[in-house]
Amino acid sequence: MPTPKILSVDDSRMVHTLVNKAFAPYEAQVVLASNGAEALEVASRETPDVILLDVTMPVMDGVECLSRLKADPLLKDIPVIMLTAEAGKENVLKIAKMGVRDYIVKPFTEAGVIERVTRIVDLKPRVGGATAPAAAPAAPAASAPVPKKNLKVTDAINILVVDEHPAILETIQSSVASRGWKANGCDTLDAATKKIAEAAASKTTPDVVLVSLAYPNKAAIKFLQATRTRPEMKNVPMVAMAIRTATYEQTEARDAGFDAVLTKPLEAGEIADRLAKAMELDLTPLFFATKGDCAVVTLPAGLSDSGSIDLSRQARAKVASFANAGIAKLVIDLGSISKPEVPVLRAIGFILNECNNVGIKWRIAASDLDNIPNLPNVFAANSKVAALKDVPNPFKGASLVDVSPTLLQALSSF
Amino acid sequence: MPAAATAAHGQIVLEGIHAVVPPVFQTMAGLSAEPGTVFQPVQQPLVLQGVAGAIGLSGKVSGMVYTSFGKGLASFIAEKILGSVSSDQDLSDVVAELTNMVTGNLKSRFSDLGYNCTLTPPSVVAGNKISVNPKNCTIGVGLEFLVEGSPEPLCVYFFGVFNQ
Repeated sequence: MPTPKILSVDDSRMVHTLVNKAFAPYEAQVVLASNGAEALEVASRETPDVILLDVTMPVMDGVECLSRLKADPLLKDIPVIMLTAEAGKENVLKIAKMGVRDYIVKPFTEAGVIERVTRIVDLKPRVGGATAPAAAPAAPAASAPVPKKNLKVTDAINILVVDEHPAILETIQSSVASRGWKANGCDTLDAATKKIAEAAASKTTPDVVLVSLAYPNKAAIKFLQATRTRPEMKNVPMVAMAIRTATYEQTEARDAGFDAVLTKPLEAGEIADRLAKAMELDLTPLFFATKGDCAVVTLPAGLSDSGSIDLSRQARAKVASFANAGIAKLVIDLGSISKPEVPVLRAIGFILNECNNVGIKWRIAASDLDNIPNLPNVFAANSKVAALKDVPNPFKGASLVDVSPTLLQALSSF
Repeated sequence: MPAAATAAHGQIVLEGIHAVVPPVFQTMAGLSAEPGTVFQPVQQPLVLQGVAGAIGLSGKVSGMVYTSFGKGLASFIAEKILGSVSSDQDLSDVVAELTNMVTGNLKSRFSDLGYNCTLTPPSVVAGNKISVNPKNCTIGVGLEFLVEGSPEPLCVYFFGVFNQ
């Protein structure tokens, strides 16, 4: 593939300097224009692969330039990314309707610009250049991205953890072990780069990568960008880890393209579910099963908040699919739960409301016959809790709910 | 325009300046900018020193936004952003773009509240005693920021009118 050409259109030399700096570590050519009229001329001459376009400029502004680009049959297909401080909703909508590919709001980070541009063109690290990212791997010749893996939550997920502190790896290993997932660690970014290159060669790339943001000089972001240039890693989720108070670094990491950010100290109960979310895994196979003509949902006592949010969202489709498959009965098994916390209540609410909507009959099985029958009251008492505010009470005014002491009894109670 | 409405609009501007300036300096220069003294109203004529950026607004909000950097502060920030500063042109360029980012984000906030306007390209002036004496404006407010690592403050002023 020829070197990608980026046209930066801005009346500010500072912006041109920063754009040049951002692309310096990559095999890319940056061409410049200082207003819309100049941009049209340069675009016709250079046919860039991407145009970064400011709005407020002298001579011809970005909006006028964009409309002329889109009216020119030779230039209309060049992707345009707006790079502007003007981000009012009306302005964004008006410009979006004109056919821009993306919108970056100033102030911006160099990493953010690279991340958006790499959604459109493949950028390869400049090999051997003084400005190449410290952790840049050698990019393979073939550049077609390897498609996203079709993973299931029950697969043996392979996690790569890049952190200089062994305790972080241990925490992650122990919190994902119950899912049958495996975590391996590297204490430096160079070691991780090497490991990824080896894994790519043997077609055993990790399913998700966690990277500490604590490495100096924004090395984690450079590592992300360099890793994403590998076709095998382009669709592998990458998750940053930062201390809670490093809010600027967290925002920068998200802007740069990390799929999620975990804050340290890591909450062991949340890790697996947060990673599942980053990998867009369907959680329902962990909790849903069928016994004969009845669906069974087993909710664990330690259901995490993020697991509950994802499960609740996914449960709607799952319950609808049961109805579609002719299953008309469902049991929620709370055998391991005594006092349900908010994440469990939310999941129960979503599942039972969906059952009520599609006409599936339901029962509850629980060994704690003191607390669980009080679920309707617990629900009502927690209705103002933010996490449950939007979940209608599924018990419809009842003060107690019938509970079967065992799953077997619940199954035979319909 | 009733005094209460003018005061409310002044408050919208001050809240806007308060919200948009710190992220601009944090993102572009990696420096915190802590809000300090509030000027409401700004005493006129306003006298600026060092390097100042100015951008005009026209539409449902009309007026001017000024940013005022001492020369030392402008050099310090320009070095942080560009790595090195070789000329006054570099300082002027950085001040112009930072003023553009502050005003552009302020404009977005105004626009989301129903006050659309267009912006002029930025102008930069430098000197020891730049006197600003705005005409026909009902609002004149300003906010000082203490920028991490610099003894000189940054000031952002707005003079203008909210049109119905």
